[in-house]
Amino acid sequence: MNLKQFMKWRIPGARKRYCSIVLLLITLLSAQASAARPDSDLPEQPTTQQSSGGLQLPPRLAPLGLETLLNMEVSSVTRKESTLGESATAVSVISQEDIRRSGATTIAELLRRVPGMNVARIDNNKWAISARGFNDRFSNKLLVQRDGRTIYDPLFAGVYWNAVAYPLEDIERIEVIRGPGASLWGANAVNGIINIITKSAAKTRGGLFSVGAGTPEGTFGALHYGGAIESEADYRIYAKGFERDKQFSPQGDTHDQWNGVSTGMRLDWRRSELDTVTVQGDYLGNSAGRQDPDLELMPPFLFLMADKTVAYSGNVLGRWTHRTDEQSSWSLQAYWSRFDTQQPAAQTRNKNDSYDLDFQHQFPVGHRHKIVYGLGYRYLDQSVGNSLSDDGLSISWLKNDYSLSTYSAFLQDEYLLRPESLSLFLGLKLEHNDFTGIELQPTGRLLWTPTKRQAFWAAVSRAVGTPSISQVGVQLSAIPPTTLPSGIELFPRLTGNPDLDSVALIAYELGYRAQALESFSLDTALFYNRYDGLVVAVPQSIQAGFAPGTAVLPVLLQNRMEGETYGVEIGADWRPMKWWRLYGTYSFLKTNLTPDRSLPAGTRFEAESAEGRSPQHQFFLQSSFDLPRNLEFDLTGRFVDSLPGFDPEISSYFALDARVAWRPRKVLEIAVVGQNLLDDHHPEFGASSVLAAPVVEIRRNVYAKISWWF
Amino acid sequence: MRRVVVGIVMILLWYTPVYAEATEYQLKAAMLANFAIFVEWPTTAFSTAESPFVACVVGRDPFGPWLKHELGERVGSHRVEVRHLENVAAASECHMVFISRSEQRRLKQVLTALRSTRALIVSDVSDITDFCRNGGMVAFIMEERKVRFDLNSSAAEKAGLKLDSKLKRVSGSATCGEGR
Repeated sequence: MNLKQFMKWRIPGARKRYCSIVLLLITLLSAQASAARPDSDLPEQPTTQQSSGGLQLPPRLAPLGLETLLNMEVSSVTRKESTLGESATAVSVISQEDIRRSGATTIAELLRRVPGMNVARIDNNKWAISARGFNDRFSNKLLVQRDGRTIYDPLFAGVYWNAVAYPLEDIERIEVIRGPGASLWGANAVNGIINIITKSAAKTRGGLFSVGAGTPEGTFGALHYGGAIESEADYRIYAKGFERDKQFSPQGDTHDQWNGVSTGMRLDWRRSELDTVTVQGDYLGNSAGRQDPDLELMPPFLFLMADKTVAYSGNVLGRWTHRTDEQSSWSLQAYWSRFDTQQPAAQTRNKNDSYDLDFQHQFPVGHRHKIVYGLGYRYLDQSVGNSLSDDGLSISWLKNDYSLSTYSAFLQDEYLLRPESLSLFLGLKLEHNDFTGIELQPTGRLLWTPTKRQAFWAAVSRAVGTPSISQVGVQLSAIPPTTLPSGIELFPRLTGNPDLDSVALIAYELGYRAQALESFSLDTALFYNRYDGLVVAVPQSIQAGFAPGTAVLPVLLQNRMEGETYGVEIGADWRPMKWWRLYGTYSFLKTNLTPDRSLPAGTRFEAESAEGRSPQHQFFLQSSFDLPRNLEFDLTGRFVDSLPGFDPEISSYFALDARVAWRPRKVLEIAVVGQNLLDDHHPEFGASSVLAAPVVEIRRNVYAKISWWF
Repeated sequence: MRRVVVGIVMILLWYTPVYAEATEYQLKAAMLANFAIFVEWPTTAFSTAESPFVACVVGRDPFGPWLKHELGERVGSHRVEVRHLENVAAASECHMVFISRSEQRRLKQVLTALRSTRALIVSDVSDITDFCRNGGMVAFIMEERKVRFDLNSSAAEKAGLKLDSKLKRVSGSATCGEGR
């Protein structure tokens, strides 16, 4: 879509002559605007002025005088825009400014602003989050990393969002890539990658103390302090804690109280002009209440058990980055990470240690090739432990311990077909894992930038999702039974399959990005995904029950479903005035799943429910005002389509968030935030297909927060 | 109705506000150009009225075309010359020296080498205390997205430079590096 077509789309009913006037204006403006911003803050190109054909520099600023200059703002778009403009992927960046003005208190909630993301809060401490469909509490096609460390849990290849706690103030940015990134990031980067990048310690000198309270937000507080060690290194330490109240359920107590503490440090050492060493580590303790079905030997057999997931996690990471010259660098990274969860009532415990080593090297070859390659090794030691309270009646595992190794290597070449306008990216990742052996994940991407302010891209990629430990080894009975005509209660038992293969995706993507005006940018992506070998639960033959009057139906996980998804994602960012920003997104998604024809009809129903668990339409609109007297006023509205895949259906909803912040002094900010203002409570997601916990509704939330910099 | 919508869209698009925004180094270059006005060099700094005003950059040049552009053709009666110094020893002819962030690790050596010059020493290295303590005179600071500066007036005066009172007034602190 070029600019002209875009405008027609914006105002579909407009008469031709108005269109042409508008188009003329836009053409004039964008020509003028592109002249106004040569890429000259890049030190490598001091001669942009000459090389781009006598482009005029904008007027001098010096005559404006010092007072005016001191009040001018440095445009932050250039660098970000240029890196984004260069990528042939659907990527969005959540900046620190976006984080602050969202009013969100968790990383999970921040992701709602990204087009193509499906974010649903299940209860106080659980979220279903995915990109481009297949949303579930245990969704497994999204790779989440913080500072290069994978934070999804290998047990179900998903993320315990309750145990992702980092002070939001110390996050530099969150990069969200929709679509496969497997050729670089490897298996499970199937539908998207989330990279949480924390601030370098050099950027957080001094102290920050914040504290807040609200309902049901509860109370929370965070403290960080950073400083320099000599002039070569910087450090930061932080601690945060919170205690949240419960959400709402028409059935009574939701048992979803949530509290946690976390602490950590980061050290950045500039060893020399060319070498940087980062060492960081975190420790987290977290208790997240839950209410899950538990199987008992006595009628009515399935009880709701109030329990909590107590999580302890810790990690230490070191990274050494060396720049060999302007365009070449390598980095070596190693980390250890532990995740330990216990459920005291169910007496289960899962614990894993991962050790990861990663090397990356990038360098140019000639003028036209930029090579990046990398090598990685990960060792995982996971103990799942059998349930002790009921001898594995509710949950048990084929093996108690898993020791798994993953070896990987990738290579990517960025080939400049035509300087400054056409690039081809070819990449391949080879990965070996203990469940499915060698996996090949290639990608081909084409990026065309006809002008500095527009980019078109197209990509075809293959990605795989390798089986999680649960999919291979779990036996779980946690959904209600059906009563057979004979009166026997038939309990489905989800059964892991050691012979499970990977899910393979071929993704076709198209994208268009434009900085139409200085104040307006647009990002659109279209995708068509074809999945092969999707996992479906296939009923086996009925077995004897665990108590009189019961029978067990093992449902075995098998790669016997195909699927396709397609969709559109649009994001627009507009600053009509210096003090007013509008940001909006629209996402459309359609999922079609086809189980093997030879499978029983029940699997068709299962597929249909899975299709209806991600919203088809989503809108997001944020308005941010910078008012006089250091006041900020933000309003965020969003619409999420209904989820017919649940019984009962989860209705569509509108939600409105508001934030008012006042900064009476440079070192003090007072903010009041209201979330979900339009109703007392609404559900956002239904019960998981494998764990039928009752539906919880998310309440209106109001809190106040004070931040003090010292 | 359509007309109204189109009209509004047109007005909004037409009304691209003139941003009080610039790239970081154009802004810094413009401030350097202003410093050149509010600093008085001793007469000995120029051998003749025709000798050039020399602005020097030590380390990797972050300015691109901006420094020359913002300084313009002349400072007072002096023609402007921008030089990139390979070696700090060549700084004796400079009236203004900008130390690039790339020199952070060699800052002490660079500043020691500049001690005998009559140049206004400016930098945007991150450790401004270190910079000011060792004789740096103007330290750029980024505050949110604005550029501010701290002055070390005593170091400037020691080098024989006269700072206009206005410069001190708009600076964040006129006593950078002292008493810390």
